[in-house]
Amino acid sequence: MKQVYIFKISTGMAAQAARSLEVLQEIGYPMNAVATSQEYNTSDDCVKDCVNFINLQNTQMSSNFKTIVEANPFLAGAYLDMTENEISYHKERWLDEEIMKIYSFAYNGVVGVPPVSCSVFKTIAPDGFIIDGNETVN
Amino acid sequence: MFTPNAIYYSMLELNNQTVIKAFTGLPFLSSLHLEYPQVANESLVFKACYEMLNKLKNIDGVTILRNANAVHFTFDTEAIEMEPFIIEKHDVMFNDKLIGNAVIVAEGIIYETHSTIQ
Repeated sequence: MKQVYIFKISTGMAAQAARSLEVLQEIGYPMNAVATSQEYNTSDDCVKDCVNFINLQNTQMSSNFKTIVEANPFLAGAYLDMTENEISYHKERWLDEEIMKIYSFAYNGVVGVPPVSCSVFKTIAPDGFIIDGNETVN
Repeated sequence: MFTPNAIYYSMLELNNQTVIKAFTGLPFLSSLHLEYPQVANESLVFKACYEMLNKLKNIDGVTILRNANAVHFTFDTEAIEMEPFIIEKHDVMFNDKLIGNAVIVAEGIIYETHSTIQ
């Protein structure tokens, strides 16, 4: 068994936003898109590719879009300083295996609209698991 | 008289990094799931699905096989509301290996009986 890191990309929180992404425009305006990254041996490599992807999307949208990185407060211990309401809010947002959220965020008046978001997960890959054709994890 | 009242959408699943890279330009994805918008016009959803299949067919090693077993509409004489079901399915092959599929789905097919017959 091997500890690996992946990130998942999702859109669909706003159809208009999905259409603003150049990479998605090229493949035909989907309403919802969910993609899973390859497996990474280190969280640093995983986060680096994920942030690069979000940064790329931001450069293709307006300058109002910024890259936001959030760590799971329950893993980082930040929940210790939260109120009960904040804790229940974050329990809805975070999965146990989710270590980070990385997403585009735009301020539209008073409401922020995240058009594309990523979640970084720590997961287990079994030895010899077939990834793609004849490639295997050693 | 029976009135079709349906919405349609299509979905694409791919599970091969080489093909996904050629399709999206993104080198780090191992799987991709796309859902295209729901429309009431059947021909529009077929057009969207075939456009993405044509893009896939242009990738070296990719072939598309139409699945002949896809379910087709059946008409009934009573008002019914059906679960989403596949009306067309295409298998995506890469070097003769199944790596995903594209489906066209119909949902909420309702045939209403109008009591105007004297």
